[in-house]
Amino acid sequence: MQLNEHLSKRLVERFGVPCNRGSIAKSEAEAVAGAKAIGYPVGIKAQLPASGRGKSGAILSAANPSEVRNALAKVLNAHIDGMTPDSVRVESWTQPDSEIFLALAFSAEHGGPVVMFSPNGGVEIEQGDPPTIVPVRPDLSLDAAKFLRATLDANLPRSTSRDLLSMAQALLRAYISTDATLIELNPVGIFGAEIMTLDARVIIDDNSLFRQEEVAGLVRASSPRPPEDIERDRSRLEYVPLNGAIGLVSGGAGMTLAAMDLIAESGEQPACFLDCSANPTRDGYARALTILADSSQVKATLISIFGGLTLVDKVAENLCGLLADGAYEKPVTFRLMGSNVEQAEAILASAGYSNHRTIEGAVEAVVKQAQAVRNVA
Amino acid sequence: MSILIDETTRLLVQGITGRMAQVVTQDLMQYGTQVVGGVSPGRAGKSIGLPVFDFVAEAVESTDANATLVFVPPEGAAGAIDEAIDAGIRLIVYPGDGLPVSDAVRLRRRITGDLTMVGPNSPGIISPGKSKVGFMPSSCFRPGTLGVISKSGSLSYEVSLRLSTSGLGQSTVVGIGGDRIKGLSTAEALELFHADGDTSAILYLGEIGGLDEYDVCTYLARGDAKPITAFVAGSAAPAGRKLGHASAIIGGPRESHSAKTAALAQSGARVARTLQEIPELLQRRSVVS
Repeated sequence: MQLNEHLSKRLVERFGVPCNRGSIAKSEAEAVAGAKAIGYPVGIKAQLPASGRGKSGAILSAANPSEVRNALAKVLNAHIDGMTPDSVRVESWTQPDSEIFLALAFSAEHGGPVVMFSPNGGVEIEQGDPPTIVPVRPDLSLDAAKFLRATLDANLPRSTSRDLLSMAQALLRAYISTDATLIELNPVGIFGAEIMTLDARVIIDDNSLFRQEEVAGLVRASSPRPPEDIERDRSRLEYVPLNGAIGLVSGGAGMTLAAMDLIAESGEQPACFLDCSANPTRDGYARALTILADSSQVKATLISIFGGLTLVDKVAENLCGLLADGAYEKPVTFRLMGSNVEQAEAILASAGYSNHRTIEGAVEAVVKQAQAVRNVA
Repeated sequence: MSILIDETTRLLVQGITGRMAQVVTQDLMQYGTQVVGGVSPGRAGKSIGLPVFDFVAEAVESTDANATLVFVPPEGAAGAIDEAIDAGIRLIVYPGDGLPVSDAVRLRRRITGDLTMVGPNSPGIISPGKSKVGFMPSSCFRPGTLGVISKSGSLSYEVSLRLSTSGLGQSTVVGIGGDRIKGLSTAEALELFHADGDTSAILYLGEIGGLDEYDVCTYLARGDAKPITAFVAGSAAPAGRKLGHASAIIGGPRESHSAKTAALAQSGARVARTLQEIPELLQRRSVVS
């Protein structure tokens, strides 16, 4: 899960990474008071765990109280990745002499964490030369000589290079202690002999939250949060809303993707990626059906489960029970296969549903259902 | 022959006293897998007719086990796998979803020499008619000469069933999982099938995200590569969203469906555009060769 900028900065500061001063504001009064305490000009930055805030108008600067009020109104209206911010960070907005990119990231290619460094930070990082990569050693120590070489090769003053080295050391400590998969400082501003983090982004490994209770608690108490994260916490469903009309209740990532591909090929689009395999229980399916029932874009739903560990007769029993209780009243098509499929088909039949043995047949049927709903409307 | 497991595989189940582990163990024994015992720290004794040990080392000592299926929740999984490695087990199958990345990185670095770990996030391995270590539905598989590598469990069941009903049996089907750090990698699984005399061709079931598919291209570049058919799930998936599997996110341009299928086709793989095409392409190939 990703931390917003303010939480990210507070976290890295604990490990000794210098960050610019800033405070959180939710109202005009708080924003103006924050700006006064820091001194103009200030940045007004929407707090939400997403990248691309600059491009989405979620970061503005202000030189006086009236500009602060204007910027606050605009910034709080930004929408990114299904989220709308409800607070801003008010921080000092002095232009640095130059901007550096520094990150610690998990790299599948290197089989572990790497340090990434570029003397051309800020928004230019995506266009410019790729950053220098210094792999962290297998014993999780930093290759200090190699990192220092990279910074000196970038023609940075020796004192800045030394500061960056201690920053990288601190980042590595933070990365290890918090089970992070990414800590990105972009940019780090150089102000004469001083360096300071101006923007930060931390992503903690979702699989480590059981042993990162403090960080997990901070993130869960923050707002807004990505809809996917909220759903995962709530129901253990992997849910990503998409734009189409075909609801899809599925099990297993690969088959969910394959079903989405077939739906797209038929000329319709899936309404979601919705993988229930982590919670194939009555509660899990109840939540899945509620999501689809509440979504006005969904015209018909395909329930596609190829069960291995999940016994599909249990799936049929749970779903038929939920449908009988009115959990979802739009048309539904079943495609159940795998463990105990014969028993599943008997349960479906007695509830008045037929089962499609092929995913192609099921997709064709659900697309027809959706089109019929549209024709009636 | 087959890869990784066969009739001689002697399996331990770690975490055998758990409810799910018991269901799976009984299914394995019914399939014919030689399950020789279980491990459950602090619960030594007997369970579902099998001896249960406190420690993997004790279990190995008295049963001559050479493989383990680790049915331990993520909190204790890394420790259980460490224990299996220390006890000299040569094949570790970890089906669990949710292993912390830092644990996976550390464990991956311990996997050297002839030690193999399959997983995390894997349905397991099946050498049809010989042995199964995992929880895939047995009815989908038939003995034969096609080696199958899959990132996704559910997709491997779906496709194997289609293969089996089309008369295309499998030497071994291995689910390598969809995590970014894996035990057995695509490249390593290809090596195993390459060396297996009973595998005549290989089917690779990939998906968007990650760069595993390019290992298939690398393998195909060698002169004596076995014929490969490939399918990549996710042609309709939007970029930049994580879809279920940790690595199922289109990060860079090389991770997209179109880039992967183009590269695979260029390297000489037969690329199926739909599920239906997979057995069709394979049958056509066997007629030609």
